[in-house]
Amino acid sequence: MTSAIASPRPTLLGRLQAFFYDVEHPYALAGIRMVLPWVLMVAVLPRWPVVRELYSTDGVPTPLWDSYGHLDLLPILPPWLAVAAYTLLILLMVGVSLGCYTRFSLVGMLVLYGYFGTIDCVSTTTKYTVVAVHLLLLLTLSRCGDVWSIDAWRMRAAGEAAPRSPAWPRRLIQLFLGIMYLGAAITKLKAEGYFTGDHLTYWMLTDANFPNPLGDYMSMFPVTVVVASYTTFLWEILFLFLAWRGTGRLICCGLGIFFHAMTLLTLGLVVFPMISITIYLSFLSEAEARTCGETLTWPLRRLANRWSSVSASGLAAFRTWGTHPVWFPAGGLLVMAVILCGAVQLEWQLDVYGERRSEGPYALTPVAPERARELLRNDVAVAAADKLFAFDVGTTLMGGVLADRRATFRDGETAVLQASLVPPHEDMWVEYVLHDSEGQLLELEGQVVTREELRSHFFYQLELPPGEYRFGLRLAGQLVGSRTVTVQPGDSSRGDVVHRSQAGPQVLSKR
Amino acid sequence: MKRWLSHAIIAGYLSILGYGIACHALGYKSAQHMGMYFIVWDMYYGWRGHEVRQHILAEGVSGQLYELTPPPWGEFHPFGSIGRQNYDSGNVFTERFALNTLRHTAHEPIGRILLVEEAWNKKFNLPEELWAQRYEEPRDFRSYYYLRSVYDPTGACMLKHFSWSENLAQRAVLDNPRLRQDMVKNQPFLTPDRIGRGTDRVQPAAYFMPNDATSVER
Repeated sequence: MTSAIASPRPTLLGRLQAFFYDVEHPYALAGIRMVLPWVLMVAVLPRWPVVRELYSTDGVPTPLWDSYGHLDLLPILPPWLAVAAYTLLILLMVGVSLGCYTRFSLVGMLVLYGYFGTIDCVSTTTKYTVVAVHLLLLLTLSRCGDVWSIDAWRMRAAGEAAPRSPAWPRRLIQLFLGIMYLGAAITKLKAEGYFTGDHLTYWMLTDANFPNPLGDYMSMFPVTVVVASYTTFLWEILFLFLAWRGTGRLICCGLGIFFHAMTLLTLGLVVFPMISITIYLSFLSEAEARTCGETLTWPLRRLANRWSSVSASGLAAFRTWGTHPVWFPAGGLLVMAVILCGAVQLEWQLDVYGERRSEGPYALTPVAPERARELLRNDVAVAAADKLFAFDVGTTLMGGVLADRRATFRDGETAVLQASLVPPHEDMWVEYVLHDSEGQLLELEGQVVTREELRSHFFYQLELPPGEYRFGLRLAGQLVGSRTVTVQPGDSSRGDVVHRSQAGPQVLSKR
Repeated sequence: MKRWLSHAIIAGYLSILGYGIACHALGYKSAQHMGMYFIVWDMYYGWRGHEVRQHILAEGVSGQLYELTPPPWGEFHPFGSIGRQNYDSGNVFTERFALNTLRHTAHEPIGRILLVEEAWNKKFNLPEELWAQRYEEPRDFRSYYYLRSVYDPTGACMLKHFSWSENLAQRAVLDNPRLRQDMVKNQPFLTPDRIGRGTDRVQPAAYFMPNDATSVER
């Protein structure tokens, strides 16, 4: 009779050891290495024509270090050198993606991307710049160039097998993502107006980001924004603890991809969601990453196989050149040098400022007198109507906002009137009025709204004859908003106009 | 890589990230130096109820006003459809934008450089079709123009005010006779020149207020 010997339960140290030091082929990291440069290229390429203006001594660099008081921390480059360095950055990004001299390319990309990313805090530096710097640093410490790369192809041609390496760079990327989400959740805890949906609503409405038509539409339904706010917060808090395996990994990563896709559609963010989704590749196991890569690259491999069977001599020549220890790097450097010189010359020809035009430099655009008077008006007070964001009527509050906006009510229902105010505003007296279809004033109630409050609510029990009525909102005695409602017969409809009103603790009635 | 080195990298990296989290949570030196920007995750900490645009103008010695933004050679739009200067909400680099435009254009001698903020209620950013669904009243767009700072032709700051939102918040607080009396009694002087992150933080004690101009009550 035999008995099963229970294997000893792994110690905490043992589990940490396995977590960080299990060896694997770095397919997931290779996937990040290949995708990340093209994601960053979305922002890097459009800035090449304006390198002179954004990043050189002949423009308006706005270094991040200046805004922190570390004046002249790093040198600002002259225009030709800035163009050459920026072009080199683009070439290195391509090199990283292809996995050509991977570590060298990563170090160069890290240094140059970090430099250019922080030399213009006004229109280049964002948190995705920071995320990219962290990713590049961790990729530099990894062996992400050992697979799916030109380096790997050269290694195979030299008869070397791709080594397995410890998982700790990939683990650090995963932990980085979870810690970043935790930090973002802390920010949300501290941000006033986040859990009431105001923060996100105003962000959806701004034109400072890329177009976001879904955001404009979603801003009309504040309760969806409130639900999204809480959901996002919970997901960010829990991600670090649940995203490691099984159902938790599926839900956390799935929600994350959905969340980031929504930031693209509702907030107009482009590069940040793409970078974040790229990081999710780190949550693929070796087998999963390999399967994904082989599935996605199947058309390319088929093409390569067909070409190799058609042109064996061409393939042999390519292999000879590509694996030569001198021709390949020398040829690469020569090509890069030609491209850099060409880029500097091209940028000079572009004449960004128009100073070498046949007509001479541009003249300043004069401002018309009427426009000048408008610009110098120096308005310091806001019209009453512009202190109001929206006036709505419904029946249900959720998270402090109206969950339903309605135009039809039954006699006996309690209508909730909500005034959403634009911050910052002063302490205000807010009046709610009710008129019948003939314009006769039926009710007038008031409330104090303090400067900290973003919303005012008033509860009104509708005990009115069926018909059309109009609720109005007054600020500083002016009618700034109105809603037309229809009251239909209820279970207890009455002929007399008898009504009761309920409001918050600061109501004062005026007749 | 040597095992001890990888241990050190892992421990060091996670410690730095943890330090950033702790500083951010506790509000401890989270903006002390540039390195903190790389470990504190305060994405979009501040927000505003108004959409704001920055107009940088030059006043020639003849009295003619000129646009410095957008510059005559064309404007770069980093994120969407507005110029770079609009993302300098702290008014830190205004004079650099101005001097760059002046340096590369032909113009008369300049007397001073002005930064004017234009602000409007964000609800007016809704497209027409959505406005009709959201509001009963017609769209009555109105923007506010506010002189934020003044520079001499060399870019030296002559006058700097709070931002539009901060100004509104201050006026709300200072609309208090007793408070104003206390301020005058003690006569402290502060010229805040910070990079503001919040939109309506109360400023301490006394400071100059922009001259009251005509209100736009209509």
